Amino acid sequence: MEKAYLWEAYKRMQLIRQFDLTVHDYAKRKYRLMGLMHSAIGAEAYSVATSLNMQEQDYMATTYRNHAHSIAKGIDIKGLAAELCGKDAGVCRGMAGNMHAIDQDINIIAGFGIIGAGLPSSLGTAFAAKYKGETGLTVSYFGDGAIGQGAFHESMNLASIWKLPVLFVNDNNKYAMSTAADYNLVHESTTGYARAYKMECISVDGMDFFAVDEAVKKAVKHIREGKGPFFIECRAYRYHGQYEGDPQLYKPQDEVDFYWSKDPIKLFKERVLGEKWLSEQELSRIEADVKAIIEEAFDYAEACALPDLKEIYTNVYCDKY
Amino acid sequence: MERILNIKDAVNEAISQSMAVDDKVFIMGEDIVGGGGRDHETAEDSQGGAFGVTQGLVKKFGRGRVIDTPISETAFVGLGIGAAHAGLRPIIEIMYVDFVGVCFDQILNQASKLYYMYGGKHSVPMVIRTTVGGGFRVGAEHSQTLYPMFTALPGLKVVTPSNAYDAKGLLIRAIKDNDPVVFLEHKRMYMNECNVPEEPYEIELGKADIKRGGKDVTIVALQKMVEYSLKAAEVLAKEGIDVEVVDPRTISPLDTDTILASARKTGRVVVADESYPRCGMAADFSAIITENLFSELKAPVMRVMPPHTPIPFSAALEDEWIPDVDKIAAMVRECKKYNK
Repeated sequence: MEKAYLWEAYKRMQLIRQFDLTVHDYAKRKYRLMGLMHSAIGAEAYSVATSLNMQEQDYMATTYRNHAHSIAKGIDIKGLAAELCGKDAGVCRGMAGNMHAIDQDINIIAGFGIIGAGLPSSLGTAFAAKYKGETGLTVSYFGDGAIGQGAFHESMNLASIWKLPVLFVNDNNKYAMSTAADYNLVHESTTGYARAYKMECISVDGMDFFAVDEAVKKAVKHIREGKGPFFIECRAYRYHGQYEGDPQLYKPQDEVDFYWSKDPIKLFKERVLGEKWLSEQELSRIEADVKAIIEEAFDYAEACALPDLKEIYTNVYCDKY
Repeated sequence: MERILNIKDAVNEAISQSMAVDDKVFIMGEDIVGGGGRDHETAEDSQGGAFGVTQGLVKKFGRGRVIDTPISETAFVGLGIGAAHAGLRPIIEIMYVDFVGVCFDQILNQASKLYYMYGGKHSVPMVIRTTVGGGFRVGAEHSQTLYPMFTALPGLKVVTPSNAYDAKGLLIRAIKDNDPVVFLEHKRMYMNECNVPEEPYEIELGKADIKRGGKDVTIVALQKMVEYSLKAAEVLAKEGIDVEVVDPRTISPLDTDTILASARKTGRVVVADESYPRCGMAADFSAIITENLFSELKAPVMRVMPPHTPIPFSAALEDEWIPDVDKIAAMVRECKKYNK
């Protein structure tokens, strides 16, 4: 594999991991951040593999667990940190917060706070590309919990009958808040739902960057050829709680231990070192670079100003009367 | 030149003229074309929506821009949001306002909030057209007037035309507007006619219209209640009561200046409204008028509203349920008599 590609992949995975470890640390100490934090640790591999196969024109819809998706797509880390601190310099000017912190300037529609609510909007950006005769696609992220929602089923059906260029990426991280996926869902693999809507689908190990990369390349080719939507189940794990501070009493320890043995960062390092694609020194350099970026971002965020009170009224409407 | 058009055709003309000048405008909804929506179908429509409003559009613009949907309001209202985000100007039809229950999250939490939450980067220029109003003999789930629910949400605009002239001008403006607009058509007013110019024109949102000038009592009313208030005013004129009828036309934004100016002039206000009485438009208007003009009013603001019950089916009951000309006239007489 190309060195520059792997370099970028590892950098973005490290950015996600170190960003959310910092968030975890700060949340625990009730330090710097405002509000509830939703950690994306465990989502590094599939998020980065997906984003690296997207083009600038492509759209993305994400959820309240958005850090991995946004960072993978190249969000400004300082702006993201500032948003989590409720600052005017945040990517959403302090109006959205952790739950919705995305940047519309890099073609992310929204971080949808209601489970399943982003799926219909992702049909819309996909529809717009088709309507304008463009080849752009939309990546729509959602968790296993979203599959219980009507919005999911309506969107799957509509995307299928209209052959919309949507890549449905299901982060099956085993838990919808505290409730296990095998309690909530009738299918063991969420591709069962895709098949019901006659949608092309693959189930992959979402912790394995290389497996997801291969699946996404296949999906993107299918979609760009105008063959309609594609569904990828990324079997992953939500290492942290529903929110930072969640005691996670519902998780068996042997399950947690098992998934740490499948840590996406660890798997990636083992593979690139084994294949001699990147060296120990190179990986260490990336890790050190990222550490500096994260530290700088949160120091910047803390130093930034809070929004002016008039901002309460500024952007309710675009056309004012 | 005089040209008489009903509301149904005025709405159709507004959509058609908007689509003709801007290819980013498309319209989508259940049975808005009809005839199965199949590829092999000709361009002919069999339905034009449940009320025939969109008839003929497919012939002009094709199925790529006039699009039948499955019964999936959540999916296609949300699709409208995404399409608007990507630069298109969707007109989304929800057949009856009562159906918002199945897709309300997309309106309540998504359409109305994205512009605000994302610091004013991407607006959501989408029009949701839907129908309100009782008296159609279709029972409790197809007769409601639910505009207060939309009005309660910052970020949405809410438009309530009461005649064909207003319907055309307001809809053309709404389609050009950069915010999500809920455009409500009263299903028992589609055949109401008036003079409507053929050329496209716009009516600004947030500008009330004095539908009848008068000096004794102000009636503030929307849609069907404007029609009834004007009839009540005729009756009352013969009794020597000179009524002014104020039609806000859009309830978000609301032209409080015009409402308050009229109330200040007459000192007596009746609000006639077809929405439910609790947290309804009459309660809202009455609070705004009272808190601004308490010392100048000669009588309390009086409200003509349906009872706080679901809408009964039987014609005998439904006709009693909906405020009518007699009830409005009676309330105006009471208001006129009131001595502070």
